[in-house]
Amino acid sequence: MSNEEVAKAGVLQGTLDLMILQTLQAMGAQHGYAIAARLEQVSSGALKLNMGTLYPGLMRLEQRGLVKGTWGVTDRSRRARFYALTAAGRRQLAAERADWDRMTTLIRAVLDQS
Amino acid sequence: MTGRVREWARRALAAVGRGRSDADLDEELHAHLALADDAARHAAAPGAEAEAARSVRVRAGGVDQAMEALRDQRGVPALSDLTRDVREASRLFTRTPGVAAVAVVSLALSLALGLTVFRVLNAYLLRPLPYPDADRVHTVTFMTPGQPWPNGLAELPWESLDDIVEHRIGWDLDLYYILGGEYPEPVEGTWITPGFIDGLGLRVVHGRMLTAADFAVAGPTPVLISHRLWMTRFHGAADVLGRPIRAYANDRPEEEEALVVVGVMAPDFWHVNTYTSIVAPLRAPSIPYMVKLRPGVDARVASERVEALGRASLPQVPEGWRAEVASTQSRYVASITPLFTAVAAATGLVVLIACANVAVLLLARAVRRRHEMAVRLALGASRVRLARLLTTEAWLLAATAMAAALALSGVVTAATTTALEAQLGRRVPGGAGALASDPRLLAAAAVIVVLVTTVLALVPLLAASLPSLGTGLVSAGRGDTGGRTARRWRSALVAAELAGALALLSGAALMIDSTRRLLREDPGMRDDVLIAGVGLRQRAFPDAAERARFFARVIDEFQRKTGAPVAVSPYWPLQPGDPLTVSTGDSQRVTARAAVVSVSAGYFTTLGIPVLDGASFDADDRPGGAPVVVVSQSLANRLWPGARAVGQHLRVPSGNDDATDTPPARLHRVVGVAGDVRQLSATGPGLSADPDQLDAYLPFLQDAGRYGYVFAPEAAWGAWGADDRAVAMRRAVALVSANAAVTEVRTLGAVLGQARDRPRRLAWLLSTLALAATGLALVGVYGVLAYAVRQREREIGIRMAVGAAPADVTRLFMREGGRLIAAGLLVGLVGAVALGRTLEHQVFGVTTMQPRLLALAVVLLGACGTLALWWPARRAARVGPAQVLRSE
Repeated sequence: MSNEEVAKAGVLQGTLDLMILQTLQAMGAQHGYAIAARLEQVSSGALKLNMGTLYPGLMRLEQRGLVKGTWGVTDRSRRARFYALTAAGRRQLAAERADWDRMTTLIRAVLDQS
Repeated sequence: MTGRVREWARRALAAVGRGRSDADLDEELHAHLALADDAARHAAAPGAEAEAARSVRVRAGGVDQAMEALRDQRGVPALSDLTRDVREASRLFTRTPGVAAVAVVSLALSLALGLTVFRVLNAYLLRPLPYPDADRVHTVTFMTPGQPWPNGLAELPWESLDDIVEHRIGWDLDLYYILGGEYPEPVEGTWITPGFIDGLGLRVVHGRMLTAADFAVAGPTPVLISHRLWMTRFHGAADVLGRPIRAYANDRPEEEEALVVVGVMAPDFWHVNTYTSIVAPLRAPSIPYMVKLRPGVDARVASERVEALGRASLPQVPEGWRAEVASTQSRYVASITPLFTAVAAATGLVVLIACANVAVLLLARAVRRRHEMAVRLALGASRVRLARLLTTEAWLLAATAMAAALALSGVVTAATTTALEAQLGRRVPGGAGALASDPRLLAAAAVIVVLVTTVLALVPLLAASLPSLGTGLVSAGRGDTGGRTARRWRSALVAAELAGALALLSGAALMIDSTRRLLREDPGMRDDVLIAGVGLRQRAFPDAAERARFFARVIDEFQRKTGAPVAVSPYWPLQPGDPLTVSTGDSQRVTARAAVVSVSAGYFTTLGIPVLDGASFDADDRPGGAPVVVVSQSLANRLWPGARAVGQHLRVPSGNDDATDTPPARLHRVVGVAGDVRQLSATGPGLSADPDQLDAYLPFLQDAGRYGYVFAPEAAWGAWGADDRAVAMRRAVALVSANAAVTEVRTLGAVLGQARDRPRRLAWLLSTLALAATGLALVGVYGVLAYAVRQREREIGIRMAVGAAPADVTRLFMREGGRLIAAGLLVGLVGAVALGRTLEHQVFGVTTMQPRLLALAVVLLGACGTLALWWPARRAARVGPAQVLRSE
């Protein structure tokens, strides 16, 4: 998925935020590459985030106070910036999850009627 | 929602530099790549590590694009774009510091020149006069061609106009002679009506204002003194209030006035005349020389009402009598507009020429930068972005120059205010503070910055135009001249510069020429003559006979002491008087307009005016003498062409002099014909352009007034053993009578010098501007051709390789540049004629077309222009073909 595709699809921008927040919730504090790798892995290679999409997204979340980034060192002794969920981020994730569940249930119900 | 608010707050902070640094972001992106690399190599099969690493690197995308996206997310995109443009623009300045410095300095200097002129223009012309509701303040004048103003104007029932007139601003100028010193000290003052206070917004800074009661009662006269008088004579003493001043007034000399200071006027009070040192309540009817009309009243309506009032109530209305009510502001403006127009036009031209030069400079640079622009386009910069960058550069240039210009013009104006006021012969309305930066000046500066920015940005944009990708990259390396459009623009700009320079040069030549003529101008009399104004007290000299005795004694005493001729007249020589209509005494009644002045018999000898026929009126210059007259040669020729004037009779209307009550016209026998004398021009600087001065001289002592100027040779004052001529004159007069006071002492030479000074300085100013313009235009010519030569070196090389001689190449460029100069000069001729027209109204002896001068200017500029062409053209011929072709 290229930058432009993400930018064009307004829905996807919201879902990117949701996916990042969920990843951080599941794995704890992570650096950018780990988040991208994890998303690629769980989507079975369907979701390939380049830096131009991932990092502005992280910055946006940080600017909104949902994640907090701090420089740290990986287990292989490389410097990297680690992102962790804040309390506000956790609340936001819960709310967005609920929204998402409601929406998918609703759409599923619409699609399943025949 | 709070998240969004937080996001934009952070972005705003980041826009002013309070966000994550570029370095920090860059490090994170590179960390990402390193981690991806690690992971790929770790997971890859042995031997395929490099391939895997390349693959993840591609997937991660470019660092530059990511940075771009991050920057957009970090701050407010529009704002950060601006700061980036400014940063990049200023980088271009540091990269070509020479071009930038030349552009900024030449722009700043010319803008400073323009701003300085604008400051003066603003203070004198654009700002309203320093009165409340200045647009409603009007001046009332009465026109009676060839006649004195009719009697009884002051006594008209002016209050019947109260429905259209809010305040009647009347005054009566006077000289107060302050007593108590070695001799009476004259101070300029005025009696004012209550309307003067409210109509002109008179204020006091110390003490109190004059009240209605002050105007009503008789007794001690409460007066206001000017701030300046307070400072100079009373040294700013606070207890000046209530202090009596012993003085007598010129207009009420019977009694010693008991003047009591009740207030000190605000220092910034400004009036159309300078008689404001002492202001006293006028307790008599007065002509309202000015009125403040009620809101919405039209000046024309007011004129009609005043005229109707005069026709209804004046005892006698002269033929052709007219009243006019006109805005004081516009009358004031009209009196100085021509001078300002000439100077402002010249200055504007210089500023435009300087701007054109800077535009040419930037144009050349823009062409050189086609390659850079093409590369930027290739790397994905949008055309809008490039245009924005060019605009930012132009703005940075214009704004820097303007900031310097504002400061410079402020300093220059402050340093020259006094000289300026002396030069223009009037104080700045509203005080020196009016020359400081005000909103109008700043607005003008802002508009100029926008204009200059637009021109500087548009010219390279339109002319060099943004290259299309291919041509820009291909041609930029080669020696192209930036395309036809660019060449045309450059040529047009330089031709326009030449045109402006020619107009200015010919204008300056006209001014120099007329100034030279003015300095050669013979006023018709000698100028090494001392003039002392002498005023008499009515109480001591109640009638004309007494006054004649006094002045006769002064003449005798002075002549005895100095051994030189001395004369008296109530008129300044040179001063343009109101001409009266005189006519021949015979039945034909040939009429002419002439200045009628009264002089003592020795006037002609003292001032060196030749008596060409007959003699002066020696014997009849006494009370009761026969009615005689000396006429000027021009007047004699006009009235009695071909006949001898002496022995003829001249009919002279009598003035409404308060001392006399003679019948309207009196016959005078012509006893002598004197040489013509010139007078100062009433409309422009210098002597009157009309050499046909018609004068009629009547014997002064027959009807001596209370005021007279004593004329004595300049060398004479040493006879009284004082080291100051004013003191010498005062002592000399005090010896004759204690009841006479000397007001002012000057020399005729000084008066003449002052009159000649203005055109001389105007000539100097215009010459300087013209030389600056010429220099700038020549630099422009040289620059354009030198640039063209450098750009076309390749073409020259080829031409010479195929057999062109150096002379051919020189000729090629000379021809090209010659067309440019010819076009410029042609347009310039039109401008020169236009500027000549403006000067014509302004300056003595300037006629619009002086082909000789115009030709001189054309030849001069043409020659200099050719020289500026020849230099680079010759260099072109020295180009070695092999060397150029090799360098490709």
